[in-house]
Amino acid sequence: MPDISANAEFEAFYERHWQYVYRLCFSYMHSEADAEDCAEDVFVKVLTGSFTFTDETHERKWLCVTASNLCKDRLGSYGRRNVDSLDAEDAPEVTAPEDVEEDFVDVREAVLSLPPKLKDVVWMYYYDGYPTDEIAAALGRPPSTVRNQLRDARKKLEKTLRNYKP
Amino acid sequence: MSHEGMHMNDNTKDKIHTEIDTEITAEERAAVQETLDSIEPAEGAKERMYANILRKASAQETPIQEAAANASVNRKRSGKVTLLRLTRWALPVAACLVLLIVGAIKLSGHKPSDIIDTQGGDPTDSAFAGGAQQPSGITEYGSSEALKKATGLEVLAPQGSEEVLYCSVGTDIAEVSFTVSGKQYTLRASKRDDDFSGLYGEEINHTVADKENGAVLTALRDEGVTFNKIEWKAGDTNYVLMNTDGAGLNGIMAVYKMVK
Repeated sequence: MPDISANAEFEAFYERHWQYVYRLCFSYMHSEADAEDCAEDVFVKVLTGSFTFTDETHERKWLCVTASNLCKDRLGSYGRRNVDSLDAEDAPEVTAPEDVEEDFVDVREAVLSLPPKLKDVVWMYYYDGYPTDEIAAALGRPPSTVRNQLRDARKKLEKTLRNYKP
Repeated sequence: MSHEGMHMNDNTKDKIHTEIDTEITAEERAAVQETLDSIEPAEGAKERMYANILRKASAQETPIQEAAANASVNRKRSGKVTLLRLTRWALPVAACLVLLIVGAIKLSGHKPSDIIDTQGGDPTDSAFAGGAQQPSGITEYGSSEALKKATGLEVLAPQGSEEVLYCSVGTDIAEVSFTVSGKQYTLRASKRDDDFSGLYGEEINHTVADKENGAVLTALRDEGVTFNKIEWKAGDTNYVLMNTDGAGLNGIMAVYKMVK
């Protein structure tokens, strides 16, 4: 297996995944600066660790789990400070591009407003298309928990998704 | 609940759980994918992030530097309690003095621009000191260069900031105040190791805001108002960035990233 921490390999790895990791981090952090910071830290882990991945799917799963955990840690540490918490008032507004449909904005806001604990399963299931058992294995949760979390997420997204026609 | 009942319950649960895969339609999946794909990184993000990754990784590979940075943070924390006690009474007195002086200047017909040294003069210079340096020790400057010339310390307002004002406090603190997105920030630099922020209040929380830079975020509360400051060290200079009008953690962190 190629050593990802080697420069050329890392550059190719970064090229493959930087947008994915950025988007994932943004979905948690709701801020460009924080998303960039978290995404950078995920790649720093790759660069300074000694990881070997079997294939691109393995890379994506690792990145998704690592980025999600890192973002949740950051959000958690903000919350623990007990001041200026990242509640709806303080969190930066998520703005969509101006030329998009209202329904699309609703879906986007609904997805980005999902609780952090549900976002990793939503990403892996909806975005990456992994079956629930694989998600459960990657996240180290019982399959039933993952399915319950997906069900909760779907309930929260149901209304906006029903109105939206891609 | 009977043993049999529990089994029935588990079976029912399993049945329900396996249905989730068929409940979510391809259309729903496509809609979510589309919205997540619509998250576009800012211009230049790819290159900026890559450069930062290399920088951060490089910093992690020098544990001695990191240990030194942590030691610096610890040193600063240990002196904080005493200084906060001192600032509780000293700073209100200083603030009152400043208000009195500003009032006196206004009453005597001087405009604030009168006391800005747009030529970049040295406050220790007798010609400059004639009217520019206030008794409180706060001297305004027209530019960061002028301030640097006077104090040997460089503080820069971030690009795009507004209402930028450079001044020195005494002879060993350089300060720039500015607004970003309508919120007021103050950045101070000094070679002093004590708390020269000028903020006082009950320290209610502090945490590492930027491990790489050894930056510590402290939340203070005074008379029910909460405000934040971030302190860090670069070389032999200590910096503190402050906000007191409710910019929130995201706000001050975003500005910190611009000025660090």
